[in-house]
Amino acid sequence: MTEEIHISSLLVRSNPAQMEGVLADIKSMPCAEISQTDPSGKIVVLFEADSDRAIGDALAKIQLLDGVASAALVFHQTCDAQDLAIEEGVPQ
Amino acid sequence: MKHLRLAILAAPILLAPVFVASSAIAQNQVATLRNTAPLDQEGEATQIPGIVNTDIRQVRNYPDQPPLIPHKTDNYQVDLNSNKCLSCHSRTAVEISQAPMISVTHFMNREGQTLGAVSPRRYFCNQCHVVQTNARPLVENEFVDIDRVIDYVNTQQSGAD
Amino acid sequence: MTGLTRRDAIKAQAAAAAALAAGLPIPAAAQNLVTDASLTELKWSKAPCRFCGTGCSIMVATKAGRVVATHGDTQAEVNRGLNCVKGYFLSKIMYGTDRLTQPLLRKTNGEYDKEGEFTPVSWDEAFDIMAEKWKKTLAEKGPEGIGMFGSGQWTVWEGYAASKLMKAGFRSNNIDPNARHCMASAVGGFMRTFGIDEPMGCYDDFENADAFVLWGSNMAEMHPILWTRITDRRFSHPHVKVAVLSTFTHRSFDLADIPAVFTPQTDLVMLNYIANYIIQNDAVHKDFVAKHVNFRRGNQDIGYGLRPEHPLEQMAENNDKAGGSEPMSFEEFAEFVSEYTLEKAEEMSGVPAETLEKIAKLYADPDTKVMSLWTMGANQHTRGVWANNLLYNIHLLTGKIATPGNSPFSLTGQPSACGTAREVGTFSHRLPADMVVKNPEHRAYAENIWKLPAGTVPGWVGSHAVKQNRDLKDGKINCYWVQVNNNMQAAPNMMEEGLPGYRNPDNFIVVSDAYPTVTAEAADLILPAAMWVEKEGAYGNAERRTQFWYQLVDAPGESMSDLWQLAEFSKRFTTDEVWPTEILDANPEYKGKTLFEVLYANGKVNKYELTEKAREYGNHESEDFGFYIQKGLFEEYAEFGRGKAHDLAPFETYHETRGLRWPVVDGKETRWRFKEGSDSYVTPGADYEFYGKPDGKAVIFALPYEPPAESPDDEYPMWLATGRVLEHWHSGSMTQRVPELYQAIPDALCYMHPDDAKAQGFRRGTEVRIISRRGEIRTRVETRGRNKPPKGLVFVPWFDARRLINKVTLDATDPISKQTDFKKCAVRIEAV
Repeated sequence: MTEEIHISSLLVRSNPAQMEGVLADIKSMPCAEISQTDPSGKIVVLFEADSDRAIGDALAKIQLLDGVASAALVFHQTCDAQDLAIEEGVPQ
Repeated sequence: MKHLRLAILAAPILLAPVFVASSAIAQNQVATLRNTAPLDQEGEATQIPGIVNTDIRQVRNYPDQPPLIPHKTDNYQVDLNSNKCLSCHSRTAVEISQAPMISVTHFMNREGQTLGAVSPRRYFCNQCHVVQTNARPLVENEFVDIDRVIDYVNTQQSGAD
Repeated sequence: MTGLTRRDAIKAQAAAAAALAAGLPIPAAAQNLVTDASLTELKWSKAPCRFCGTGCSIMVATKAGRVVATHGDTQAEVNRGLNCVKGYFLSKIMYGTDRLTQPLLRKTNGEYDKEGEFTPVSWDEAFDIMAEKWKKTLAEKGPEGIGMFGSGQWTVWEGYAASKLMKAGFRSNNIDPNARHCMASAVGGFMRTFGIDEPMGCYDDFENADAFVLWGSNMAEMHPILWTRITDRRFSHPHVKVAVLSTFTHRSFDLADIPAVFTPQTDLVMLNYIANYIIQNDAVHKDFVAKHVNFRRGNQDIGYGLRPEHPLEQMAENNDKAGGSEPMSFEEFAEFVSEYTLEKAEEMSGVPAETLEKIAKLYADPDTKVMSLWTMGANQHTRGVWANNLLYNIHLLTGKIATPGNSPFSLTGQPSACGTAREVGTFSHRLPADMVVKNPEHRAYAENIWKLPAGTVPGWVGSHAVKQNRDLKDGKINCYWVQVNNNMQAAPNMMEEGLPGYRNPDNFIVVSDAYPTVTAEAADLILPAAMWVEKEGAYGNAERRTQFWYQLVDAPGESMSDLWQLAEFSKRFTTDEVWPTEILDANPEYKGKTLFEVLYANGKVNKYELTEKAREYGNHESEDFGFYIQKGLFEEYAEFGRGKAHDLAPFETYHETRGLRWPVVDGKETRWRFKEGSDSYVTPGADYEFYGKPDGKAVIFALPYEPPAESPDDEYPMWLATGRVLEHWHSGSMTQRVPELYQAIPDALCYMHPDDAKAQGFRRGTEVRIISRRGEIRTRVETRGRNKPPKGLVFVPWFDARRLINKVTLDATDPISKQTDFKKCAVRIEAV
């Protein structure tokens, strides 16, 4: 079976006053990583997951967070997990 | 993962390169490029290696490095009368060839003025661009590119990463 | 070791895409686009290229103590932003994984043993054993028993410090640079014809000439950046013609309007034919010749620089006065060259008559400005000085000299063959500024500048490169120090002379290098050397341009520059140990002092405080010695040339500019020497003045064709020519360690005519032995490569340490210049 890895980024716009809480919520999600933040409330989030469904779910979850005005998927790429593992020298 | 990678990348900067692999051991044959053949003998000559012909572009060591040629150039005519390389890499040829266009620097004369055509001083492509054979290097090179040096500086500045 | 993983790359791309969409700065953490200035800022500094004599200027980027990038310097007149492929890969030459980082001494059971194994030792232990061996030899044999072999790749001050240590410190003139293999015939040519070394013209001639004639030079590969200037001129100005003459077809022929492949050694015939053509066709510039030229007949039958017992030397009439000559008239000269007719030239050279005439016409036409260019083809020649003289003959007959575009131009092989070997005078017969050890006035002049007692510098001419190897084999030189070169791979006849010399049990051989070369392996003690931008340096290129650079990064491990090694070693000796009592008794103030004190801490070399060095750059030698040693050495050295047509600018100027061409008078460089208006040394009203000669006149020499030392015969039916390739510098000790350059051309192959290969049953790739009377190597046949020899000749480059073609080459030299002929000997080829 070929495993896939999905990497994507989203642009989140939040209420600057509530940004702290939003960041904490995103950080608690298993496949998310904060890439960048801006005092205006913009947040760049990176996702790495094993299916596109997981990313879709996470996106939906973020959209529903308190203080989030919008969350949009900007970038999405699928790759072969085995290829990445070989390249990085992880034992198979 | 990230820790491991940084540790590897930082190594050549932190450690002074050591003398060959077996540096600690005393030895007679130190001329690395001779593959341990004694000076008064000549080992078997290796086969003439093939030319890499994959058309896959290689990462440059730094932006100013001329790209290597990823294909064969046997019997390419580049002389007073014609330049075969330009038949794919010239400005007007790339739409059909889908080869990379020669860079804008190639249109500049000695004074840095941009000309209407490729500067004649850049005419002989093989003075800077070379093909690669599949020969295995005799000695490794520990040059590290700027990204990895920045990584290293980063880790130094931010303490433990 | 991979860099960014693909996962990182994709994530970075993802992050960057989102940041871009948000109008945010691209995150530093995105890795592939770091924008934090403190991180991305590189320190860019200038440095001349480490390789050939062209002297391109390079911009070098450093970060966190590493060189991370290099590119061509757009501000440099020489190369205007361009590099050749070697130059573009300079960033990687210091990072071969087998850099030497500590001294290595051959030992058995903890003791030095000539047959022992290389064992790491401290610098102290290394210098201890060296000093012990040197002192023993000096006591037993005197200064003649020690020797040093340096390089045109020494920095100016390293060569100067070495020359001083040997000639004044140890009182031995047994010091020679590898420039002997490279430029000695050019020097001989200059001194004989003009009485002063180095070209009268400069690279500006490239943009002014109407015709270029390459005499045995393959500039497309060996001087690629100068070739770009010729290519530019040729294509931009369609009237320009390029003639390329060589003993085999090579890349420079791609630009040739007039190609000519000639039989080895017959350049002498063609040059005399052209002189004859000029005279026969009334193209002599009579006024110029009458005012500025003398004619002399050179001695003939001068031998081949082989060992004296060799039959060829026994037979030669004038090998003890090879450089001799007597005056003659123009008419006698015309008579002398009249035998070199078109028919004779065609017959001997194998070049078609119409081609020969075309080339002759370029010189004879008064409206065509001609630049002649040559390097090893003319210099590595048993009649190399003659070839140089004959080239000047045709420029002097036509007055095509010392004006823009009219230029007989001797190209240089090494980055500082001019700056260090020639100008500093590191040859066994020379002193700085063209002075010679034989001349008592010159020695006194040097002793005065060096603040040393009269009689310190000996008057005997030391052993030259090839003779040093013979002296080692014969046990005449017992202590020998090699710096910045790979002479075991370079010197001719390795199996009969070089290797037995180094491994002679009576001898102690020290090799300083950055990498474990073939020469290092043949040594007894290896010293790890700092290279290129790991030290502050100065080089002088082929157009008299002196260029400086700073130390940009630290050398790995315990490696130290050659300058440090020389100066540090000098501390191990006192004058009482190395100078005779008569000198010390007459000058008691020198008694008991170390050589370091009398040579380097002499009040001049140590005059400049450490605080004067550039604050933002390191300088490991000065920091160690406590004074700005490079500046001190340079300023003392510059005294030799100031007011003597070799003027150098003040030290700091060179750190600020992209080099200046000497003589630098009133802050202005000199582009064309010997011509009124462009050279301030010319007496007003003289128009031209060849002031190297007492009467201001250059010399046209009558010199014949004489056969080479060895020609093909039944037993050894092929000519062998050796040389370089574009991608590798000299013996490959730097470039073979750059994977991209190695993979471009990894092996020295035997380039051969397909018909010759077929006749012996070889195909491309057949493994063969190349065998001469002296040795053999194994390699493979190449019939489709970049070099296309005519039938009867093979070409093998010498960059490949696995295929030491110098086991095959002949140690015949030009008897005047003592430079080896690496371009012709006889071989046979057999399938393995």
